[in-house]
Amino acid sequence: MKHCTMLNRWIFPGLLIAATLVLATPKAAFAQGATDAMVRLLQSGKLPDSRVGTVIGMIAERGNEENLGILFQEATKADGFNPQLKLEALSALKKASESRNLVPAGDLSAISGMISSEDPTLKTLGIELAGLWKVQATADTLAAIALANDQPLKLRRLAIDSLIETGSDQTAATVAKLTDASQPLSIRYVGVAALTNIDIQQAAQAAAEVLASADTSTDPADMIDAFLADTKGPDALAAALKDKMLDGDVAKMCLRQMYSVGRSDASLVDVLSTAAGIDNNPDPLTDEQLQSLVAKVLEKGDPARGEDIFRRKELSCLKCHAISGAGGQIGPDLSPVGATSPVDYVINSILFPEMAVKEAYIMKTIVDYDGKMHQGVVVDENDDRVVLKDANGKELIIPANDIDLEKEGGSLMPKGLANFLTEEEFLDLVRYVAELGKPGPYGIRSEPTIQRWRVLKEVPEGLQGEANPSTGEFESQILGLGEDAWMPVYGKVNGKLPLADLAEIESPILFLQAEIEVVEAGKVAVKMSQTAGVTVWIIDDEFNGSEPIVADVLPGRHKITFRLDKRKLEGDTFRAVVTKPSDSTAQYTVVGGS
Amino acid sequence: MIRPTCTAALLLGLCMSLIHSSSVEAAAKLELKKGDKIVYIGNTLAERMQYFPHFETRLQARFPQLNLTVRDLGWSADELDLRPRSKDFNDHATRLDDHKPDVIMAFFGFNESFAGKEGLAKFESELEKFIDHTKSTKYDGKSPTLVLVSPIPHEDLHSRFLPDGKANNDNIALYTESMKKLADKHNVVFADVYAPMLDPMAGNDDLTINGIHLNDEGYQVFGKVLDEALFGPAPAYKCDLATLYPEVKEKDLQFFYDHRAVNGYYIYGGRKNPFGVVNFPAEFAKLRKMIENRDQRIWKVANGETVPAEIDDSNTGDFTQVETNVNRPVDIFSPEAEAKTFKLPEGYEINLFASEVEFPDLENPVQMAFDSKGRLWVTTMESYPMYLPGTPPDDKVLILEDTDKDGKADKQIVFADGLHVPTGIELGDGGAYVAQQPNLMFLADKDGDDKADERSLILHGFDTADSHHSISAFTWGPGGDLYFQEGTFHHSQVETPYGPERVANAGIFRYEPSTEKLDIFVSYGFANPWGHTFDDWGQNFVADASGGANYFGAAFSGDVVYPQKHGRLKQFLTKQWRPTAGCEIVSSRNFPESAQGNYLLNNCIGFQGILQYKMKDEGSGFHADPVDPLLVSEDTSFRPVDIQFGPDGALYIVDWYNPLVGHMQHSLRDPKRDKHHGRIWRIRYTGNDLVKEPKIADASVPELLDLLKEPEYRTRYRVRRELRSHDGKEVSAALEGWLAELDKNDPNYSHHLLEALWVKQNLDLVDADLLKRVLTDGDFRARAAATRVLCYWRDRVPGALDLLEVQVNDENPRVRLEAIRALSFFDGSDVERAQEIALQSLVHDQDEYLEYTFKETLETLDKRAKKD
Repeated sequence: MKHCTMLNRWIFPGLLIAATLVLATPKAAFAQGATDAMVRLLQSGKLPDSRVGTVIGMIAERGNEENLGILFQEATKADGFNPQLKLEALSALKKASESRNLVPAGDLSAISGMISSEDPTLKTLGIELAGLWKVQATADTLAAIALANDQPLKLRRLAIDSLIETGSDQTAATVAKLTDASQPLSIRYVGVAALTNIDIQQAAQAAAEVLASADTSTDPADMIDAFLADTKGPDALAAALKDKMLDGDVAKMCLRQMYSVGRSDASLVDVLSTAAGIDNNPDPLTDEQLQSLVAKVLEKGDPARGEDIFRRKELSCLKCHAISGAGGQIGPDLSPVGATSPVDYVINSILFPEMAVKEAYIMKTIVDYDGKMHQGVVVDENDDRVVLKDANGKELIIPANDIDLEKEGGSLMPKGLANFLTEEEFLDLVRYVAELGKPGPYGIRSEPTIQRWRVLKEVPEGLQGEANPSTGEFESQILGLGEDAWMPVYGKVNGKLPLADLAEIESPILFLQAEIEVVEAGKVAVKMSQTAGVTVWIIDDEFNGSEPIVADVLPGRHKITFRLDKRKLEGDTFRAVVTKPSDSTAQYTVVGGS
Repeated sequence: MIRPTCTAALLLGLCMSLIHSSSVEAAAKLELKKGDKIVYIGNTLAERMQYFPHFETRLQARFPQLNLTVRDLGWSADELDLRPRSKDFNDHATRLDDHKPDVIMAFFGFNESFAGKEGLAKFESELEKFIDHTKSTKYDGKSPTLVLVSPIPHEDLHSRFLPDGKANNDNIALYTESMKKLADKHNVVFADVYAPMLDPMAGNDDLTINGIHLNDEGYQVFGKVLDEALFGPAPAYKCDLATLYPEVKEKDLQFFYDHRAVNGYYIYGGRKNPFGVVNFPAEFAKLRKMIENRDQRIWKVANGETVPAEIDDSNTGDFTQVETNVNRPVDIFSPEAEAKTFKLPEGYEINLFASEVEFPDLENPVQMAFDSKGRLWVTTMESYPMYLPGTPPDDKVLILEDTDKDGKADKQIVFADGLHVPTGIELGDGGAYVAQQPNLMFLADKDGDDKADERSLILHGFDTADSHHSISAFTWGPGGDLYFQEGTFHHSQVETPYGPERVANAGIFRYEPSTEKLDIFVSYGFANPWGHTFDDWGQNFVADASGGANYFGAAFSGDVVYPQKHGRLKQFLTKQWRPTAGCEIVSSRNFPESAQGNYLLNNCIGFQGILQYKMKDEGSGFHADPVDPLLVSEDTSFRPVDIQFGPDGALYIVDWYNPLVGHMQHSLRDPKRDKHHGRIWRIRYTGNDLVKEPKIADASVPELLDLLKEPEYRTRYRVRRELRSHDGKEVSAALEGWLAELDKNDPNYSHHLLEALWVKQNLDLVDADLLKRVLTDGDFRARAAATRVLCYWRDRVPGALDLLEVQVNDENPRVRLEAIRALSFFDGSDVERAQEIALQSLVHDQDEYLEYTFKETLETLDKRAKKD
């Protein structure tokens, strides 16, 4: 009975804790009791260190105000949690407030200390919690941050939002200063966005002022989002913009933002379309019109031109949709779509995205008691809250008891995309989508081609010369870089990456990166469409582009890095395939995604 | 209309109590007039009346001059205050408002009665509200006559597997009493069928299929009881009841196709545009005229007239012509040409096992199963996507046999035909379990001639708003429980002898045919789960088709309180493609060693073939990484929809072979939807011999037990299924000997013990000693599996919670997870203790799955604690 003694080792501490719990548990009201028992467990010190984080998370997720109050005190007292747990606990408390509208009981003055912290994460959390918990004592500090020109824009936006949440009487004055004509455009947008939380009509007037004098140097996206988030926002802004003259390109930027988050509120679209000089014609197609469009698509549509249109940044297609596994993960991967979807279905899906939506992508619209609108696909739902994923891939948490109205239906896909296209372009785009997945040049590829690339945004001056980086330079300045240093780019259906898409990178040298996920160790090789002026690293094994590129790899996720010297390249596209030499036992996939 | 007077009702009540068991009454209770429309509403008792319309037959025969119209709106597990339907169902002319009844016969109280004495006050208040509402609602300017019908008793079938019904009957009697009291108070016609059914149910013949649902004979008795309770002794009829009965049944069948039309989402629901609005209005106009034609035949036959054998539906109008929206030629390749598009890794070979060329009945095949003789059974769905009014559906269950063992089928038997979109099948218990939306049908072969000779609808209430989301991908669990899945949009509710079970918007069902227990195994926001399989140690994996997600089953199969659903669970592999259909784990000596345990997943659009993943343990759960696909095809009509290892160790693939698969991308009636093709492929590895086919049919119990040592999961799967058909005592005795002779040093010793435990679970032979032995086994996988058995035996193993307390503190995370999962099933006075035990798991290492399952269990227990 060897295993029995072995098991005893484990049962014993468990039973000890059980005894602790039972002794301390009042018999009544056990519903809350489970969480109270977790709090006692936490305070008893009997919990192994490695489990404290988990229990903190569970208490925050389930506990009442008193439970949360204890967590907050533990997190902020001098001899409380270690820095890591402290952050975990405070983040968990933030989530509890967002999900369940709960404010920890007891003294919350420690928030001020957080806001003045040197640690940027703690500072940010402090600012957010101050708003969520309406800690008026922090109003001065929040106002100061909001008006401080040396603070990052993002933090200033958070500070002003939190200041508004606190309900402090300093709010109006602070916001007024931000929207003032003397401020730079980016700050004015922040100010107006904040103002939407106080008075939507005033905000609309202010926005109209700002937009009328705006240029295209700053994207008004966040400010537009703030109006879209308010049920009365789009109409208010549309009314305020009626008599204003807007720069056509500024109007386009506003429109593009609306479309890219899947909104097409008629009044605002009308005003902006007029300003942008776009013909806005949302009439549904008659059957005859549809059939004639189908015929034109088949006659005139050019899938190659259509692919270029699909890849245009301003249409945001790739922001949501992947092709061959590479691209956005918000809508469905479109690689096989033409094989199952006839042309009329494709046309309708682009012009009227809400007509047919696969079950996993049905949109939910929630309006809360503040009149704020939230739209996205439901990713999780329980009695406490709903979690939506919006068109930007961001998760929104809405507490159940905040929900005033909810409606299911429609699509996150923008309705007015075709407004940015000429008829020819529209025909080309439809033709391209309708060809996807059909056998032929737009069929499903079976070669492990690199489709999702990362391109280095800023190539260090020192690495722009003729010479390859040294091993040390490569490891520290390229391989060791974080996600933020890279920008996603995607290959075309045939796997070719147009180098013209990378024109914004001002360097004669480009660094591209791909990832492979290896399940079984073995040899992998890299084959490329051009080799002159190319250097490849499989992890940190360096190869000249013209020599065979083969390396042994172990299981795990690995990077393959490419250095392209534009001065020596011969073609205007680049394509690379990760292959398996015939004697190789390796099992791997090329990593896709966004 | 003459309403029942107080005196009449009183008098009748008096008679009923005087002549307790007799159904013969002196006074009529319900008076009908010419042209009355009678509508049934209520639970499964009413719903099944359309399949056994003995009551209506008597009614029409009794009143041949009245031209009565009867419509059965009965709905599985409906309660007075809980009648969930899929979205927009009411737009399909299904409301009482649409039917404008003169008489409403309401069959409630059975499902409500499970709330017992404590629920009685609530029931009474709901019933009073219902009576008020019904009596005050006017249809065409007048209120209908309400008839309340009591529940029937729960019959004692004297089965060791089933409850004797005493506890239920105490409650049913109580609720019947209540109904009578309120009917009297509100001057409503009341038919007590409880008391008069007690005697016949105590007789020798079984009148129910499971204690609570009447069979054909039961409905004959019931029809007479109800008829006489309402109208007194039967007069001399002008017709022969046996001639009238099929006419009524035919009318009910056509009304079923209207009221319970599958694909409601595309007819009247969220997806009716742009296609459904074109064809369905004419289809249903025609169907409704067909139903009226049948009413008239009923009246004629009831009057003693003869009607032509052939029903004349020439007056019912035409269909709308549907144009295809597929503006390209549709490719249909021959099987040979299709085979040329297949690519497999080195060493694998694929061959055609069967196709529509040799077997023209093999049209749109969907799911397969292998019987104990090694033959392949498959369902076909030429009627897909749904019934076309006037064309009787003729979907089939085929048996395909390879008599000369050359890897190709050479013989076909039609086991059953005339079925309607059978989306799932599994064999066992002397027949086949087949999906017959919205029901589960058991097709029995009593005489062993390979023809279904008895068809029973055994479970009702699986929603059909979208027929391709309805119950599918059937599979047995190791313990003899049958699993099937349904997708989103659906609101299902099923009556069981233990009470109603409900789920909305997708889930997995777990059904024990012997005990008639049905659980919602997983309530989760799937899109459309169409793939579910188990590994050697009873761990299960679920493939959600539409989104391509794959889940580790133990983590989210704890109990929830309806309508709560489990929260979002992480996936055990990174999705490569979608949509998928069917999954299987490699377990065959024919396949290479390196492939054993791999997870295979069919994908049918874009990537068309079989994806393959290497599985590994990861903490309490699993993780899988992609390796080379097992099969890729370039034929865009290749649609692998089911996958399973056969008795020879080769892998069989059902190919639905169809150029058009989108349910919403084309009209459901698109003429280019193919209805006449279908293939079954077979993959084997050439580096190893095929597996010697096990002898399962006609094997003795000891021979069967020895087969449980075979390495192939599917062999053991089919052996356990076969053992279910043997006598429990015999198997139990043989197991004792088999266990005693096992070699303790055998590396598979733990697994053999587990198989023995599962055999006992299959036969519902609770064995606490063997269970405890496996719960403390040296192999964590055995301990985890035994913990799941304990979960399902919890009410019959003494000290179940004490045992779980040990498992929750196990050194292995998967055992702990199974224990935490099991704790979610405890109720009532056990809740507090279950919470305490769950909390103990926190002292041990955590991982994402453990944390998830812990939270889910706590959530359920919290809900129960608050309720109590």
